[in-house]
Amino acid sequence: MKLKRDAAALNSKLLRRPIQKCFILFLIPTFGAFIIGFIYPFLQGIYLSFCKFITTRNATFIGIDNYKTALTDSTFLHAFWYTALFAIVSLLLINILAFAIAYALTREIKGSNLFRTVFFMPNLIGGIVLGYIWSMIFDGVLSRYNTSILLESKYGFWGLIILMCWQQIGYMMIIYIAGIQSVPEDMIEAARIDGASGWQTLIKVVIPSVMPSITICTFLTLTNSFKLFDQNLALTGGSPFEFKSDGTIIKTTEMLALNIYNTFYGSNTAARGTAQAKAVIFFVLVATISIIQLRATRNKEVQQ
Amino acid sequence: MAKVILKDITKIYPNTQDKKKKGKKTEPKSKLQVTDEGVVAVQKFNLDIADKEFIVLVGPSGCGKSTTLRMIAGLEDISGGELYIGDKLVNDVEPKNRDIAMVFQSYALYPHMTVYENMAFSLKIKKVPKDEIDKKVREAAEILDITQYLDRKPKALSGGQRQRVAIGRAIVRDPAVFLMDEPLSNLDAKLRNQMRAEIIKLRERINTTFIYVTHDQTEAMTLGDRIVIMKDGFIQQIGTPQEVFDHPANLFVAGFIGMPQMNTFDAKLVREGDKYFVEVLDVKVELAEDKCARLAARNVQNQDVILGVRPQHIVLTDKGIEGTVDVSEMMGSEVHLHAKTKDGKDIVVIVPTEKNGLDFGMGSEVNMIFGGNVAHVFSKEDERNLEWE
Amino acid sequence: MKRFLSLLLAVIMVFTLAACGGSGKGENGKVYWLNFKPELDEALQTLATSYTKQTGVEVKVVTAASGKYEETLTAEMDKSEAPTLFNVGNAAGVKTWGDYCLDLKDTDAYNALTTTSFNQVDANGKVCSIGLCYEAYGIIVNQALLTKAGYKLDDIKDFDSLKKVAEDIHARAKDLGFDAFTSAGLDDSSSWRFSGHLANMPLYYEGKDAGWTECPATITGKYLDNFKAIWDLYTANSATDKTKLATAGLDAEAEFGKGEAVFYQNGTWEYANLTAADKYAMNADDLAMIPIYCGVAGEDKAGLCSGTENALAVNANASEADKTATLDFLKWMVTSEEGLKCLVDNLGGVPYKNAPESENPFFADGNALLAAGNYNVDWTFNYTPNVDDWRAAVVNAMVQYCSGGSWDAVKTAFVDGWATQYKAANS
Repeated sequence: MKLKRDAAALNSKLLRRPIQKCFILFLIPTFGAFIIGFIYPFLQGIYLSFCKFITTRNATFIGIDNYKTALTDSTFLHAFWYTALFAIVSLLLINILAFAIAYALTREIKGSNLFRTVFFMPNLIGGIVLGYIWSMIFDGVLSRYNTSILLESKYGFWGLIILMCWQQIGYMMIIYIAGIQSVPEDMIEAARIDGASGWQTLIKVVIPSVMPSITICTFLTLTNSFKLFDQNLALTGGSPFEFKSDGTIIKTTEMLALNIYNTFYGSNTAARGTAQAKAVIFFVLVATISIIQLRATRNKEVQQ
Repeated sequence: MAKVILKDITKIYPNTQDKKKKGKKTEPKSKLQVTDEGVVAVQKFNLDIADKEFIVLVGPSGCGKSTTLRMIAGLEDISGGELYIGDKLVNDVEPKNRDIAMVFQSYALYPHMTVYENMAFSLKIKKVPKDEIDKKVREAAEILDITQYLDRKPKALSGGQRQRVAIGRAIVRDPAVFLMDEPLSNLDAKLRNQMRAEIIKLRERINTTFIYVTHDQTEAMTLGDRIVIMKDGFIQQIGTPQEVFDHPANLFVAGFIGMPQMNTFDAKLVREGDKYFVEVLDVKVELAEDKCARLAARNVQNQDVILGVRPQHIVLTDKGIEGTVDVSEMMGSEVHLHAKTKDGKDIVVIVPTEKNGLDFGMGSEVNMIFGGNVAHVFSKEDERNLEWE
Repeated sequence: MKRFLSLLLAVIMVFTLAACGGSGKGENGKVYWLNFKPELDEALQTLATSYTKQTGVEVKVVTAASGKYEETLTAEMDKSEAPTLFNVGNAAGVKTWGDYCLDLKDTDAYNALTTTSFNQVDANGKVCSIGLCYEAYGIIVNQALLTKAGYKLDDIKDFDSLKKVAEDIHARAKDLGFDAFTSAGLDDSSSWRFSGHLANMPLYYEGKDAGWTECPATITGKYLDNFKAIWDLYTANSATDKTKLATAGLDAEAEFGKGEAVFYQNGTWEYANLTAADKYAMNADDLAMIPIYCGVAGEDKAGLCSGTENALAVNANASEADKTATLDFLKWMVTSEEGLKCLVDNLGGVPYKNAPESENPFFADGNALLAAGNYNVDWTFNYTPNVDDWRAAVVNAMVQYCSGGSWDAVKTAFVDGWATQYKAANS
């Protein structure tokens, strides 16, 4: 009998069963990495948020005090609203601009490949580096008016928006280009024959067809904005500060992640548990927002 | 409800242009003419389409048929010539203002809209009152038998249903010219036959000018009032299905129209007075009178020719061209015999099953002959039918 | 292929075993010093190598980036191989790290000290850290330039005379080719000179008046006007536009080293860099350090500000072997000739019995002032609660002030900030 050495033979139960029994073996490496890199630190972090500690290895359990402190901390609340505002503005700007550029670059412009590369490049530079470079650029401009990005929170805000747009538009653009290119040419032509103007085609045909790209891009920009840290630290580091009458210092351009970092590494070492509690709150917040957002946009998606 | 006139319509793709997207027209198969200006996809296309006529553009891929249709639709710029729809010169008129509708091979439905919305889209854009839209959409749905799917999205429909929606979307616009670009190519064979029949019925009901593009000669033959056969950007022949079948203008048309393909032989045309004979593989057949007359009128002399005979027109006799059956294909009502002659030439013969079709198994010896009225003689030089100008 | 694989595995195994052997050696104890002063790093690395060569004990010296010591320490202390030797230089440090500190009382290194005044002691009297060195800061003067401008050191005796000289030099800066003060940079690499060192002036005088013995819950900012006066003097009489202090990426040391300014507020530790042949190669004789004058009554009798933030603690949680190794290393460093020489050369003031005389002229200047009966300006800033946060706020307010904001912000950050940080640190 001739031995069959094809895929069907591999599918035979005799062969498949023993292999299937070994599936755990194949799962262990990734699962192990996942536990070490994610599950364990995550659980440890939650535990620590109920503790008072200086180094994580000797922590004393104190219950929910950390959460109380965190939620009444006016700097944390300021950072939250500031972050939320930042997230909304950057979400809108980045996505609108990225889509517009992507749309323009799929219209067979000369040198569009070059443009794509150029627009994508900023994304390859690290956040800290970008932050410092842009702080120099902004100060180069602002110093003509005898001011600095560190002096006005509105400069810090828009500076960070510009930086993030500059960095992220290219990346989102690539996703949008892929989305727009997957819209069948026929469909656009059908719309043309149906009498839709360029604008109507865009709004009623192209955009609904690229909803999956919009979902992923809004998800990325939203979570990126909420998690923003490097750029925030390097560009303004929270400056300027505002001194409240009760002595609290509000770092007016400090976002959530930086607030948590400053709380943890600030010289008030008693606040490390509080920082941990803030981090847990932060996680819940980001997770909730992104799940809501995913739900909302997923509903609008269609399959070809 | 309008005539369409194409006058010297030409399409040239400049060489510099990115050809990736226009792949259809520049596939390596085709031998399109390349000039200084670029690749010529359609050469001086002249055609008068009468009102309410059903015209089919047919040809192998890369022949320029889709390009021609897209120029009529306004999706491609016209490089040269004049295009009239009705009495209006429309070269530079936007597609939406040409009073046309088009059905695409891929259906090109809007996936995020329901069937109803898909069909209503063009009317909504034209700001037609809502109740009128509703009336038209329901009418069209009725015609196409898709009323029960109006609330579904395209992805919940089968291929045939989607194609109906695509046609419905065209119908509601009540166009003067109805353009169809290979509308049945994405369907399986059975559905294709069914839809073909429905298009014939549809035509009865909506009664407008149709321009239909296909690469399938059966569709062309069954649907068209007239057929335009194209190759490499040139029109090969324009005529009714009967005309192109009976009197192919050249070897290409002869081979393209008719299933199975016409048999061709290297033969000698011999003139004896007013009579013409063809000598092929030991047999000499006298051509029919009308053929002789036409050949004589053109003063055709003795020459080597390509002889074409359709498989339907070859009959089995006791004597004639000898051959051995290589393959016998039972098609139901008829049997296709592939016979090999002594010198290795393949000949396809159709034998009705109820006669003696089944008597010829593989390896059996046959003798074949054809009548002088069904032989087509083509010039060996330019492959044109010698009977016709 | 199989043979190659097994060979590879064998090699890996050997290395693993070797690594195990390596850690086995750890029973002899290792020293891991998390260094606080970046400028000291090079010298310490050499010292560590030398010690390892002599005794075979591994000494690892890691230096935290400028201004990032607390973060680095926090992260490092969490590791299984935590620092065995680290810096606890002020009251806040004791508060945070006190539990991690071994009581150094009566250790060999402790017994070699000439003074206990630079040690950090917690509320229970535990000696958490012992002073490694003491430092002094003031205004470093380039005497060569001062002479060129037509003045001598003796012309400066108090704030008014300093102001007169500085303003005159600044006015003639174009002709002279140099200015009065170096830039007063407010970025992270330089701001501590003002939020820490200069801010010590109002703190010191207030503390002196009030007789502080520990961190007060609130301060009044009584001498803040003097702080403002000296700060204004610095910023008004320098070549740098004061609105750009935080962003221009200034390097005051270079300005001074290249002879672009006469006055440079900094400390004794600058001596090495300023005179090093491969750095600025300044002539040691040209350098002098004068007290910081800020217009407080009687300050013509002021001396330099000397004290230290440089005090070493030994990790109480380290293994016994590591603790012993660390204490041995510490002892060697502060008693051996080589160790002391290294410390004196790089730090100058070393409060240990056998320490040789420093050639650093700044210490000589400081000692001369004390000998003349002037009072030492203590490092009162060591009391600062949550020192980094407090300073960050002060710096921020100073940046705002320099770009046209009101001085009130500095006042708030200084006075209210203190109370807030005190509360936060003691909650």
